Amino acid sequence: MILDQPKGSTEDRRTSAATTTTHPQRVLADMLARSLGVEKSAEVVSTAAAQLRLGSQLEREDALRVLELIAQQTGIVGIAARFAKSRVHLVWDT
Amino acid sequence: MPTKIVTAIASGNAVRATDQLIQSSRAQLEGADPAIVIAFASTEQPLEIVLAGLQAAFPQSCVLGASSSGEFTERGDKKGAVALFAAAGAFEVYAGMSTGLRENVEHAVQSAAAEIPTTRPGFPYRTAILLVDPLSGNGEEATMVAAMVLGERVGLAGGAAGDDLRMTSTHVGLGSRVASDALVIAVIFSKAPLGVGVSHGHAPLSEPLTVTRAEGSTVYEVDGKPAWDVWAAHTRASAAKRGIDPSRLTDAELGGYLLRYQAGLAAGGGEYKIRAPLARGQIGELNFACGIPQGSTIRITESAQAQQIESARAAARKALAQTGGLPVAGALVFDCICRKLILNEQFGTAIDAISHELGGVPLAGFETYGEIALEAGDMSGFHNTTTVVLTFPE
Repeated sequence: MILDQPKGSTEDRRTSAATTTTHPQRVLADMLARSLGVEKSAEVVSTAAAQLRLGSQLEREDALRVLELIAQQTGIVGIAARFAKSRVHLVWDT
Repeated sequence: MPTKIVTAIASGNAVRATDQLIQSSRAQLEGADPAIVIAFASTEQPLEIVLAGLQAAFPQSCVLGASSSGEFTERGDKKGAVALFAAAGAFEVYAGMSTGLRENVEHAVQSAAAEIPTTRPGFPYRTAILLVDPLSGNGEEATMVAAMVLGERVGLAGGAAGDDLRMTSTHVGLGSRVASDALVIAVIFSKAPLGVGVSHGHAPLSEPLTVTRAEGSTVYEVDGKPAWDVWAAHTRASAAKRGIDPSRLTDAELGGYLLRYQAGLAAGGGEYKIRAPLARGQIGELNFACGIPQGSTIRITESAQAQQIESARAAARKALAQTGGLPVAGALVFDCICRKLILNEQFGTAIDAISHELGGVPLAGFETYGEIALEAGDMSGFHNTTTVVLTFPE
């Protein structure tokens, strides 16, 4: 679900906004930047998010889908995404 | 059981140098059995001879090592030598080794870690030492996979083997087994935390440059031109101050030149992750110690002596900060070969600085082609141009 393209009633949206934490794409890119650099990280995250038709703010499940899509790439890009996925809770749960 | 750290360094014939290391370390250990023995051997002392001798002398110990490009202890640094670090005390060490790092990094790491336990009763802390062959081109990848396989509570420290700047064949070993295209993982279980610290002293020299053609760890083109041509153009003025013309470098000089001018990836927050070009190919491509994705933005970097000495101090302080104020018995140091090239005669000052920051403790290490440092819960991993300090608690 994309928060900047909400669906459902106003009441539904209020409930969703109150209970769902979203993360900007930048947070995902920051996790990859240590291995790929900030510019390449931003590019691979925005490309993957666009392929999944996601917006700039990502709910947790959608953010994981973005990392999973990037993780399918070969080489260091895919490994960096798999590593970020394994550590993502360190960023989100603290 | 108090920790006892011993270090030794010897030169010359491999068998005789190994015997010297054994005699020296036995005398310092005063009857204690080391849990771990690590050797860093130059190309003059084949690693298989050194490790076989050490394993025979310390059959109960976990013995591992790497080929190197410079060796040192707290008593000084040498070329063409073998340095030894041994730790006795309340530690349990389990290790594994695997080959095939270039072909399938994930399989290689999983194979090396397969027999290593995840818990040991009474030893709540885990720290892994990772030694890799950098010429496989998978240093960063191996570090991240090792971190995933071992889990987020395991700190990582280590280095990429060297070969005295020949850039042709680097080796790691465990027990009497030595191989290239390989990695060794040794997990140290301890009652108190070991500290991992890392720091570098490089700063950008060039404006941002785009990697326009790359495959794996090979960068063919930067800004649409052969990578070496771009490197030479952007470093020419800096090199001229030292009387060096990059277009006149011999093959023997090229490795050192590239290690002085490394690539910096902007990692956010004003930090740069340094990436080492290890060799130039026939069409001007540059081979790095880990993957460089096509489309990356890099900056060529350089460093001054003072920054390199201060970064060594900073690495020691960071390691100390992780040990909760507990006194340190000794340290392993993984120091980029480029730091020796930059510091030259001042390299010993940097080693002294590390020892001083840690309270004058014994330390041993080698000059690497890449450094590994990952604090428990950290998101970084493989480095170049850094000092990595791994402290052992008293």
